[in-house]
Amino acid sequence: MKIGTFFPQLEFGTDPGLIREFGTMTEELGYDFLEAMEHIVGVSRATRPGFSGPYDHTCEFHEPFVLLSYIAAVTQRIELATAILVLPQRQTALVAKQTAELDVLSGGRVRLGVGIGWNRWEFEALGADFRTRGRRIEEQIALLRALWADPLVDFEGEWESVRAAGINPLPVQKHIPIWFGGMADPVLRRIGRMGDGWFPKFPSLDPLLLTKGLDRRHDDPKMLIEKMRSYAREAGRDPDAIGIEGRLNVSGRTPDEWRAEYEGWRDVGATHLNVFTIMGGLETPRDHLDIIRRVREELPEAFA
Amino acid sequence: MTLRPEQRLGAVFPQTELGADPVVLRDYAQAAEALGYTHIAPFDHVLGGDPAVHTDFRMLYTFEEMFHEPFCLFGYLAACTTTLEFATGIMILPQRDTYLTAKQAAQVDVLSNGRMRLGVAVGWNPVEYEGLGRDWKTRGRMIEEQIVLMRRLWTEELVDFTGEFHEIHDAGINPLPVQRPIPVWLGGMAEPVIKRVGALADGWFPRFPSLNQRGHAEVMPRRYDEPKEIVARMHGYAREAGRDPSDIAIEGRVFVPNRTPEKWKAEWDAWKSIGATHMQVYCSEEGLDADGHIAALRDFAEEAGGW
Repeated sequence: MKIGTFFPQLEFGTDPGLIREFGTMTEELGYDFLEAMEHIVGVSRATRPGFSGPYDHTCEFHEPFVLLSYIAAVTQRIELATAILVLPQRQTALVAKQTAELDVLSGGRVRLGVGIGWNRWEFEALGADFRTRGRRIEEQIALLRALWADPLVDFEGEWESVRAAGINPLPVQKHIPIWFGGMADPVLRRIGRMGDGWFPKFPSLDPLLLTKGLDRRHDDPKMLIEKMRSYAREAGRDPDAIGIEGRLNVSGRTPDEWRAEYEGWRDVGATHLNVFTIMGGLETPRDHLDIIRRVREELPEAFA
Repeated sequence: MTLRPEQRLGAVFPQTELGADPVVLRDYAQAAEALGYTHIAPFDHVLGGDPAVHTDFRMLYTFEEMFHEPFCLFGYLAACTTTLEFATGIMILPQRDTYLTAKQAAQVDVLSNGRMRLGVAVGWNPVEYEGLGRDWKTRGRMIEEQIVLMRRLWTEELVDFTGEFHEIHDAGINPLPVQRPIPVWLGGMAEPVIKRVGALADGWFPRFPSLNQRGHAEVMPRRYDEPKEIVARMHGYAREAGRDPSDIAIEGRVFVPNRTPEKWKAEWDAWKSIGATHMQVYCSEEGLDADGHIAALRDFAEEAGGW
């Protein structure tokens, strides 16, 4: 299993020196990857009584393409991932360009995690259509892969139109892995058909989710993973080639709990695990740096 | 002689000539900084078109030219430099989403400790607009609204804005940039652009072929060849907008390779005489490789440091 850090958006602050240190320490400690989630704008709860999402305008999010490019400059080995990028909020050709650029700057270390998002207020603020986001993301994936593969592309879709044009430089990786977040059945089908990996959320393996009232239907990891794999087989793909990433909630919990959670993910066949340090009461950037070091020390089997 | 910071001399980042090795990109930026250059200014294109298919307009760059994406490039170089300012020179703003542009510029500003300058223009390439799903016809009105909105996004935690193209209520980006707001410069020479510079911009990248006797001169109408008059007109527009014209910076350009130091000095002086506050060197299109580009920067810095 590969193990990575989850950049502590929301809680890390804006000191570039500390951000650099988080990147270099991730690499020096022997982690395999560093990933970052994102939101472009946050909305105010005050004027939106119906808003119940976890992140509002007071939440700090470093923009992942710029952030990971910065970290690319101070690391040599670790993979750099978005986890996840709300793809339907973004212009596809620009995502293709920026992903390729990050891949070039990092020497081929990019993994693109995408999802359709949940924050319709953010979509609204950005002038993006929330209703069609599921269908749109599939067309976006097709265009991304076309733009990464060929110097000149002709693509005519329902939303996208690129005529005899392309990006330059092309990425280093011939096939940039695209992973999906999400739990709905259409997402599982999409992963089976076109995903290189999945960020599932299983409350039974992830105690933080239980406290957030996540749907108990998602509580049968083995069944859901098998379902995703059957969709892959239906699509004529090898299900074993599709990665699965879990998360390990470490803040405010004991090393024994870390180990149990790690083993839970291992037992369902996770290929990746991210060490999630936010939302557990840490107070300073230094606390986040300390805990990723402690995980390395207390859970050596995860780094074997 | 070495360059002095107050000379505000930067370099057009040789987008199409450095190649794709990130170590070379880093070395170039670090060399520029070490030589006393105050900024680098990359051009930007998201998509390049095939000139064999798109024959209805003049294509200055095609799909065969490499352009590093400026925000990613700046994020990367922010980690390798300490004083160098990062100026897009320019970015085609109307083809990009306003919110993401504000967010990414702010992110560069945060990671570089306030070294971002956003140069923008409407561009010349409708193929890119189409590929990015944006409207070519309204680009002039769009860029004005984008500049107004971005400045609010960079200075207010919550923005309420209704315009022709944008509507946002009580929402904002976080973190805000170090510079509040990030300087916005304009490129372009058409009369509406000159007016826009006077009304809105912190600075301007004009092109005056007569001052350089070069620089896509063949596509520049002769009416751009009266620099003093055009700058005066821009200042007039600034006064009409209630602004102090001396607040608007101007960046001139010197073409370096295959020219004598006397010629460099003549171009430098010509730009200074029309009020250039900043300068940039242009070393592309002369067949230099990465080492050649760095050598050109060094040669020019040694001369210009004495001016």
